[in-house]
Amino acid sequence: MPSDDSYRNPFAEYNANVMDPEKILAFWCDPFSFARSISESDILQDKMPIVFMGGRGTGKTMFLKYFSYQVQIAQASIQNQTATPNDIEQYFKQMGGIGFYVRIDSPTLRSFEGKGLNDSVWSEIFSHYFELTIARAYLEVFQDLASRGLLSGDSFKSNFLPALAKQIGMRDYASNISNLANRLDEELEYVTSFRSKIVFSRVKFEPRKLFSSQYLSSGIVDLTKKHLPNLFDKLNFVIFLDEYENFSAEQQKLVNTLVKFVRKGMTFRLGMRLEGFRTYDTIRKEEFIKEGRDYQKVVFEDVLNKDKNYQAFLVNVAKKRLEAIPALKLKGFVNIVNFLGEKQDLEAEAKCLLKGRKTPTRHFQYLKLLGTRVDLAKSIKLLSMPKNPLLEMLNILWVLRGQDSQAVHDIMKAYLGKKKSKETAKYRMDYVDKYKLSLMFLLCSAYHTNKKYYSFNTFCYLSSGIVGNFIELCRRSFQNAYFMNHGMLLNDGIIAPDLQDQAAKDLSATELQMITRIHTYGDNLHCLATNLGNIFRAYHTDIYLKYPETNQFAIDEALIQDAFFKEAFRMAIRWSVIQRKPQLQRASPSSARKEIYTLNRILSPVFQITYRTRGGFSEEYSQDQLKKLMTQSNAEPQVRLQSGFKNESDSKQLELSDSLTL
Amino acid sequence: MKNQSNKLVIPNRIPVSDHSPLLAIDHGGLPAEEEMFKQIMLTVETAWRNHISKDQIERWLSNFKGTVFSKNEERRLALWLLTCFVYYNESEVRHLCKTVYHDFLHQELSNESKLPSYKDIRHSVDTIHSTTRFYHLGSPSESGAFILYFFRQANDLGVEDFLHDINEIPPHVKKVVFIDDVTLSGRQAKRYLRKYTDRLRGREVFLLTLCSTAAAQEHLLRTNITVLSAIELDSRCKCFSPESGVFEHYPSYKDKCRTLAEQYGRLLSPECPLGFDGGQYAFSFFYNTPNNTLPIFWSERRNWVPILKRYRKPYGKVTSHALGRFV
Amino acid sequence: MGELQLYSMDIVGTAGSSSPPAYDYLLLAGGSDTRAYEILRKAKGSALLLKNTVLFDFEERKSDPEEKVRIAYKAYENYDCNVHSIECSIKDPSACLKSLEKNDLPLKEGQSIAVDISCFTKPYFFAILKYLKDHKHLSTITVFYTEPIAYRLSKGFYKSYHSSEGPLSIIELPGFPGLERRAAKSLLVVLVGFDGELSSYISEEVAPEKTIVVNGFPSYTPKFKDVSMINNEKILGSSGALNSVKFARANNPFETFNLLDAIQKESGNAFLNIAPLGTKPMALGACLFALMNSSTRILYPMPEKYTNVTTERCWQSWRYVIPLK
Repeated sequence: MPSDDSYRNPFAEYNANVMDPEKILAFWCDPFSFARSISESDILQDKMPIVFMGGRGTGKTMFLKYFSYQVQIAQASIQNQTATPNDIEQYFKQMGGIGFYVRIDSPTLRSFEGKGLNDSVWSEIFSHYFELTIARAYLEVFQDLASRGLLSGDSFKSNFLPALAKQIGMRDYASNISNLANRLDEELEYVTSFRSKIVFSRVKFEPRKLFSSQYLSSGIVDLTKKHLPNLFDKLNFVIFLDEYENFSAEQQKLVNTLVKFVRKGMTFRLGMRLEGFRTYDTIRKEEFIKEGRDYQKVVFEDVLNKDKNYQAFLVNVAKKRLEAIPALKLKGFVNIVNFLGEKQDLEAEAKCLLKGRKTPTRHFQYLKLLGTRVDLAKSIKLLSMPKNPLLEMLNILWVLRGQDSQAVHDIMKAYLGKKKSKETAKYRMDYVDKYKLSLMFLLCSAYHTNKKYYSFNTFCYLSSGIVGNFIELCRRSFQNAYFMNHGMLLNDGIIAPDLQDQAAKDLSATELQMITRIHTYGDNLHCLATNLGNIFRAYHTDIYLKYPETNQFAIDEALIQDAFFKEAFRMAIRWSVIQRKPQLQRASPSSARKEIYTLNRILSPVFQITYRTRGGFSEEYSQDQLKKLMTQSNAEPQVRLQSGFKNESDSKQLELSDSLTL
Repeated sequence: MKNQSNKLVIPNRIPVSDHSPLLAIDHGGLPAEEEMFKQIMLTVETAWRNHISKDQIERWLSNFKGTVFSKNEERRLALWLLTCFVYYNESEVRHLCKTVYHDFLHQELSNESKLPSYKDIRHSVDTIHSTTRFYHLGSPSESGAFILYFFRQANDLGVEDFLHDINEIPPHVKKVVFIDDVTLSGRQAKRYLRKYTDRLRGREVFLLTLCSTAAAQEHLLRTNITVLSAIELDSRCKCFSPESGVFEHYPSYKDKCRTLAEQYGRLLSPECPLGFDGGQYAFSFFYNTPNNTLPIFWSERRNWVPILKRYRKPYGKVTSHALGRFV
Repeated sequence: MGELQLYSMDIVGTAGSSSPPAYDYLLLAGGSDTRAYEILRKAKGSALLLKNTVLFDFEERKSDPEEKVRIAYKAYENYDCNVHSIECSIKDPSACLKSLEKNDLPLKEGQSIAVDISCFTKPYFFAILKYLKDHKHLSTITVFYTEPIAYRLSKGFYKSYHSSEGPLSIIELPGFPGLERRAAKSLLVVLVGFDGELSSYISEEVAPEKTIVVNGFPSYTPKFKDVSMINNEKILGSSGALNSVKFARANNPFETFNLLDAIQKESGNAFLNIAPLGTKPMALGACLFALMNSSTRILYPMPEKYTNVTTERCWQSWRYVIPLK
């Protein structure tokens, strides 16, 4: 086994939650290069609430935590080795705000329901709990500031502390922040204890003091401005509330109210998945929150981001991880592009597919669709180009589309001889720009072989704007490489395409399977994904390539009236099963502009479809069609397509005659 | 169940309840080679501490030349056996040492608690500690001694809890506990312990092992040696037994796999082609592979490339070594 | 050393005994696995004396579409065990226990009460034990558990084991919300089982700062210890838990208890979350630990639908004497 003892998988332990502030700083990569709508200073300074949206694994938590007090104080300490209280004060004043990271996990949120109590009672209890949670976050920061000498002096002890104690409902004088924090902990414990007792018996909710909405979350902010203006007067209290999509509709109404009527000196940054809003309502019936007016939206996940900056971002993310492994760093193996290869080599892949086969001309059987109009043997001779099977496929396509075999042969020769003409220009455009990847899919289909997914470029696309997917693809690739070919990994810094492909297919299959686990709608969403995948697959095996690389569909969400399917559709977006393209597009040249969606490209390997987005044609679905996609299997494409061979017997005959020898 | 001397009596094995209306079905062909390699890869990474690589597996598979079945078929059958192999890494061995020690304490405390002199648990634990000494089974160069080191560490025992010399057992010691890794028939253990009969007279004798079988336990109990084991290997662990877990879902492959193992086993270990004493086992520890395991996994005879080598245990003195040219 | 207790666990014998243990009430789950009524079978063979059986009659299980499964479910009728049936839903343990209350069965201190957890879901037997402790004030209870010989694998291979189907919802088990302090790091202890999707899902939803994986080892059969690890490789890889996997014997709840106790002591004031995804005896140990340490939260992936038959045949049956105080 390899003697490189320091090696471990550089892409393991990628969850931001397991990272302490130092690690977050170490692995931090600036996302602003590709999330252009906002700058770093806005995060803590902008008074308007901001909603950060992105699927799981897009890096939201890492992002939100980066701006939390705990990470920023670590940053301040790194920047200034001997950080005095004054240094720290200046640092935060320069940042413009203090970040309070708050996360309430879904099991806790779900516990505020049922058990024989009605919604309004739970709303009141949750509001109280939420206020305590925010207040506790404040006090944790105050404790740290006090320990660093920033909170001291008469104003703090004589004015602020007593006022804070009164706000929290302590009758006795509080001599320090710790006492107040303990008091809040006791109140939180009471809520937890109530949640436990209510399961088997009727108990009343009777805390020492019931805190209504904003009483603590805004009240404490006001106290800091009033009693500690030197430090807090111009500082924004920024509450980073993560995983907002887990809040129930009732719970969101409460927080939406806080967002809409956010008080001076504080603001919110909500992290959530796309379609994470279960409601835009507030607790006031006639009021709701609206993008632009009440909050600004930033989308992490941009499926169609062709921007090179996203790729540069991923290279940087990977570099930090690779550099953390001495066995790789010492050898200079810190560029993920070198490990994976920059792009796929489709020509090489095609040649490899045919290598060693007894009948490497099977794909020419597609010409049988033309019946007696074509002399198969003669066509094979004319259209063959053994050095490049993809050119052979293009030739087959042209002949199927009506061109004469001889003419195609001549154009191919001219193209290969670099002769310029209208025909060679079209030939080149079809081959290089339009159909190469599609031809590869057709070729694979002819030989009942799977297309391979490998290379940095491909992994970028497959990740669908979700950094976590990219990391997981790399983790699995390195895992495969270490076992299957550790020599190449550790000595050459290369991972073979086959091993990358295996990683991609495994992750794709896992992700598809995990869809079934999405609560309430899992089965429907799995059905949707499977149907869409198979429909798109049909486009990829259409021998005429009528609509090459089709992998998107259009639907007007507003027209989905059925509440169940509407919510299911939104869940599909929330969980990134499907992804919305950022701009309205036409489903076809003649149709109106609509919302266009793609299947998450991480699912491309399992369905053997493209990982790119060509645009052009999209399937269009009505509400009824969407329902069918979510409830019935074996959906068909809307367009009549010709898949593979003319009839089954041709296909079977070829299966028997062809035997692959390697 | 306890007999009158408060020694643990092994109850009769519970017969398998067979009246399920939903018996296991044969899932048809073995998994594809790619699947099995993937399974092994994950096992190696998560449980085997990266102890083997694919290269090593390929070299091992190259042993199967197609003399019994076709080369491809032999390869697949061998891979399946490897997929079902059990390897105990160092952490697991340490845990087994801890487990068996706790089993020992539990049993002795249970016995103590029934005595008229019983005061409380803490007192009994102290009593047991003070009157018990541990020692390795077999010679100092054998696996028992190796395991003894881990046993001490895992259980945070003191050096003085161990006998330095089996011939000098302090008079107040009432329990002598021998440690070893595996006892499957009990015969070898019995032979070792027979040498110490005089010294052990009047004392309770225990053998704590990481693995054993009910047969070994019963065999040794007849000579008043109580065996406690962290893992009891039963018929499910024998690769080709009727209850074998290896072929739970692929029963139609059992005979073929057996033929493969036996035929190649005859070349490698003619006296016991399926492992010592007809073992049929497929397990190994991080430090060595027992010879009860199928020889196709560990043998080096006739240029066979093992996948989990067994370090030989030559009895007597060995005078010629591969020392190299310079010493 | 803290307070020491001698635990009691042994194998339920089949041979007739002059004084088999007697129980006033056995709480039993209706089910189609062979294990469901193994204890009744052993009682018939005079290994035990059961005076009354409280059968939790699950509507979801008794109406399985497969006839063979329905017949297997009704097999309890073949045993003369004085059955009191309580109709319940597998999704709602607390409603079921509230209706148990209405049945006015004298489950109280002084009675010898046993629970066979072999075919109860974990949320159910957690709720039952909490109910018996907090509301019936029992100080001790006997728990039976029958090991399976094998698990049903839909595709005959390791990664295909699923104890449930379809959507999941990660919940705090009712009655076990724990107690989280703001400054405390959250620690997730996963007692891993064969269904690796569950551990990944829980880890994503809870997002703990540290994860400890506990493997049931020694396992029921030697290879099972690898099966758990393989099927949970995602959480092992993504959380960093691979280098510090801990172990507890798969059929010994007291060992799990001790391990959790040690973890808690080592972790200081961390907020302990336990996900009992492994064997039922390990879950029983976690339940016992949580009953004695109310600051511990128990998390569980609640499915919409359980797989009705997940195991094959029976191995031995264990009896555990569980102290509830």
